Amino acid sequence: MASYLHFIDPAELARIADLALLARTVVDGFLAGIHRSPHSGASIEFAQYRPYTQDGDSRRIDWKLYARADRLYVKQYQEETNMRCTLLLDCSASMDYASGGVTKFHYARMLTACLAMILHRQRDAVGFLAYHREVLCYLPPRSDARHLQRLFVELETLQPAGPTDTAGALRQLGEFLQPRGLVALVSDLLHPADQMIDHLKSLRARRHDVMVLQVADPAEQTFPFEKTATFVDAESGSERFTVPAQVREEYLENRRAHFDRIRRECVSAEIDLEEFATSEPLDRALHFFLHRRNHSLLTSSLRRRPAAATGGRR
Amino acid sequence: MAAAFLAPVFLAGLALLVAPWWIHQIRRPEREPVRFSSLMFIPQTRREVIERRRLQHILLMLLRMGLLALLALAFARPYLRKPAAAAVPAEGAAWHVILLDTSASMGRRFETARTRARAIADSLDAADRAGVIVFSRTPRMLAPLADAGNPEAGSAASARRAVAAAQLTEESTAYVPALQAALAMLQSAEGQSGAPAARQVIHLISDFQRAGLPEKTGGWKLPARVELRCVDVGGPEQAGCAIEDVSVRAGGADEVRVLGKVRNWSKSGEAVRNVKIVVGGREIARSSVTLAPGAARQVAFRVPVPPASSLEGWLEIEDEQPGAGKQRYFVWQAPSRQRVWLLSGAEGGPERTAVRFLRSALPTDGDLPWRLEVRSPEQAQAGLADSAVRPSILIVENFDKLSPEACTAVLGYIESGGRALLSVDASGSLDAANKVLLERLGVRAEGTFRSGKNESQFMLLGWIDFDHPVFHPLRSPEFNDFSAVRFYNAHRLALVNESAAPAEENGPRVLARFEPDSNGREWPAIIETYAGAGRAILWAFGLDLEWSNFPRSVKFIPVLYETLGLLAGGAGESRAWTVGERLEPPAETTAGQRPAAVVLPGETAAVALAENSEVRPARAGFVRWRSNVAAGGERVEAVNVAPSESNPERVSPEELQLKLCAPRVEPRETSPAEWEHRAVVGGYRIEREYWRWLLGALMMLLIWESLNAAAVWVRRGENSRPATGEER
Repeated sequence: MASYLHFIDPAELARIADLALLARTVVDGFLAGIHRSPHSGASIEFAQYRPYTQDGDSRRIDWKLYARADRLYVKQYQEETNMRCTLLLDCSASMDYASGGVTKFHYARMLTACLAMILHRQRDAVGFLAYHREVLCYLPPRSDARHLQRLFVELETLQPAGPTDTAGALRQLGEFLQPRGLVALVSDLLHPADQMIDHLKSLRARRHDVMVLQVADPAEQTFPFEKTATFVDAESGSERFTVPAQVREEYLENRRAHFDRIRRECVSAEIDLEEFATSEPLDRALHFFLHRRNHSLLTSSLRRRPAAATGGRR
Repeated sequence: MAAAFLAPVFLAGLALLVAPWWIHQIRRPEREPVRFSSLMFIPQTRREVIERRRLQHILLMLLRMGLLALLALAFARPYLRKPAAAAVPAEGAAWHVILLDTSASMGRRFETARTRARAIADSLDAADRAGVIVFSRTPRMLAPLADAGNPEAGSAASARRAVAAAQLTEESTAYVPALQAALAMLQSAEGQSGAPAARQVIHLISDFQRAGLPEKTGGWKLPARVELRCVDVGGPEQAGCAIEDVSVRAGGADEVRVLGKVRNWSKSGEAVRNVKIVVGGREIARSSVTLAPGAARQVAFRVPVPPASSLEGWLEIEDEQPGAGKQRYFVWQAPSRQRVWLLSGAEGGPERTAVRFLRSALPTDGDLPWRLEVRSPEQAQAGLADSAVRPSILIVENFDKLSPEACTAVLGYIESGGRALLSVDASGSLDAANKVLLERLGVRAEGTFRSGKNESQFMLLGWIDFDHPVFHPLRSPEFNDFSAVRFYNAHRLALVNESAAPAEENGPRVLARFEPDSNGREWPAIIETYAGAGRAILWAFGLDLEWSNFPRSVKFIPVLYETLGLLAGGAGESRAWTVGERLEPPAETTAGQRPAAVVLPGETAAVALAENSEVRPARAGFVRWRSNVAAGGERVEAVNVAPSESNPERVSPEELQLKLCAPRVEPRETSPAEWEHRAVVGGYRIEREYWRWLLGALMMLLIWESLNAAAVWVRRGENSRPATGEER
């Protein structure tokens, strides 16, 4: 336990608890365990009565209630399910950059660990995939404590290096994963976006909820350099003589265009995307994760409720 | 023409050129790779931007390198040189002036110098002319170059005879007057012959003692057409010991202490020497001193002297090594007390405060050189006119009681050579004194500042002439504060012809002034003035406490003593002379009379002193000033060889040529190899120096560099502005 504790800032975890996430998720009834499952059924626990309609399953009519009330009601049950969440961590060399104290990779690793802990506390199954040019490590979603410990051990051993192939990692993940899970990608997205977006959409088509947590260094956001210098690409090692004052505006414009395009594609595919600077506290990312996740659950629940009202067991 | 440097050592500063290049190299932006996460958003910088920035930095670097190069070159003092030999014709008759050093430092070398001079005379061509000048402190012509009345003048034979007749002296060395005399001889010969010689050569035969070359020559240089050939007869000779100074101090009631300063000029070995003292022609003591190389020590002798007598003698060091300064003469005269008359008009009455202060300052039982005697004006009138009884110094106070007759007597005393201190303290009218006495002294009293004493209203001295002998001993910061001396009242003394006074050598001279009055005028407080052969000092205030607190201040005694010492004219002090120096007769002999004759060292006959007669001793010894030729009182003074003559330090002939020959002359016989070797010191004339131009260029380059650096700095500042929110 002590070996992975340093990934999680206890203060961050305490702040998550203070935000009363537990209470919100229970009220919304979407999460299993601490939060409720969005998938209603009849397998385990009674939920409510609903008036029977003609398109409903007559096998679920509660005849005892009909005897008392002289009306047809269908019994609905709650189903306790575990969410299968897979966390993807970008381990390319571009993540090993820091203008201040924390590299993007370190920040992303802490974020991944926190997300894994939160999911584990919610009794969700947590999967993990680390990649750069190829997949470095894959742990299928499981919810037991030993699995979480192994995840942390794997996180500890990872080192950023090499170029990025996010599209390849998503493609391979799509082959492994069962449908209807949650996929959270933690990356700086500093690579061509076309194939990556295609594979994100592919996951979405398989009814996975997809979330992208983009990690950025403050220097990447503002390009505050003053001295003329030769910039060296962290992944390819290529050099470029640059006069920062001359290229700053163009740099910012290029960056804005790149991420705006990714964002537009994500929005159209109902993929959540948010950018986090390494100078920010982790709690904003955790808030985002839980908030967006709950919002997504609520939306999908509302979408599925008419189907559940039919009383059919899934 | 060719370029050269006067101080080429500064060219080493060109090595600093590496510094800007090195700094620019280590600070080149291309040398600072910045690892960045991705270059996918960074556009290519335009090539012209890169090249412009490189050019800006290279320009800045070149400017800085240029600054350093100009600085080093300016300090190296480049100049354009031109061979000066062209000024000296190669062929034709030559005029030669042989300058033979006869100073005391020549010593044994003099015969060598004479031989070299004779050799020069022997080597002359038939058409050549030669003149001979011997020099030490002053030059003396022994053989002229040309003389209309003497056809043999300028011949080699005449020169040989003059060289043979030259005698060693005990005078010091001076090269500049000798070269000036040689040049004057050449110019005189030109004037007599009507045309200059094809070549004019000065042969300077000397031991080249550095003491003979002044630090500053006043800009005088030997012209280019005159060739200076230096014949060095100094050679490496072992330096010896010498007596540099002798002083005599009163050591007690019946003895004096004779102190001698002995120096070992040798730089190699320790010396043990005997120093003896000879008094009255008899050795009375001897002392052995050990001298480290280059060090000096003091040797002291106690000599019994009868009261009120004098002492004549010398110190002598026993040294086998050559050199001057082996003997040094001294004279000591028992101080005689001079009579000082205080003219006060308080006869019969209570003693005046001023008199009490003066009696206290000049006690009769002290060992001061003055003896104060109080006289009433009536008593003094007759005595002042009688040379047998009149005092050395006269102090006049209580002007109220000074009758016109007494004023006339005082004026007569001053005009006849007397010295007076006049304290103008009249409370009443000074019309008579003005008319009879003060205006004749060039001063007029215009009344007092106030009618009476008021301690709350006082004046201070606003200006003091600390260069004057009276105040000179008090010039140092420890003693020059006169702010505690308050004057409650004083007379307004005005110079009769104030505008003309400063120009007159013997006109009134203000030694101190009061602070400016309400009209801004600074009235004199102390005036020195002359009348006839005498001198007077006027104080514009009295000597009692009604006038000032000066008599009770700590400044009173020093100022009074210095004033009396000045008025006494240094009588009683033993003056020191050097051989060849023009002697000034003392104010009076021991008989209290002016000297009328003099006996120079080495001579027995007295020579009468005529008006403006020039007395120059040719030898060291004793000079005796006598009241008259036959007999009477005399004053003896010592004449010694200049201490600098014993200093063996030499100046190189090249340095002497560099300092005294503006257009340097290349000797004809110099080979081309030697020509280049002696290029800096001889053979070339400096046509033009460029260091001022270089400094000017340096300033312009500095301005350019500053503007360029500021532009780069401003550009960098603009570039370093933080990105705006929109950009983010």
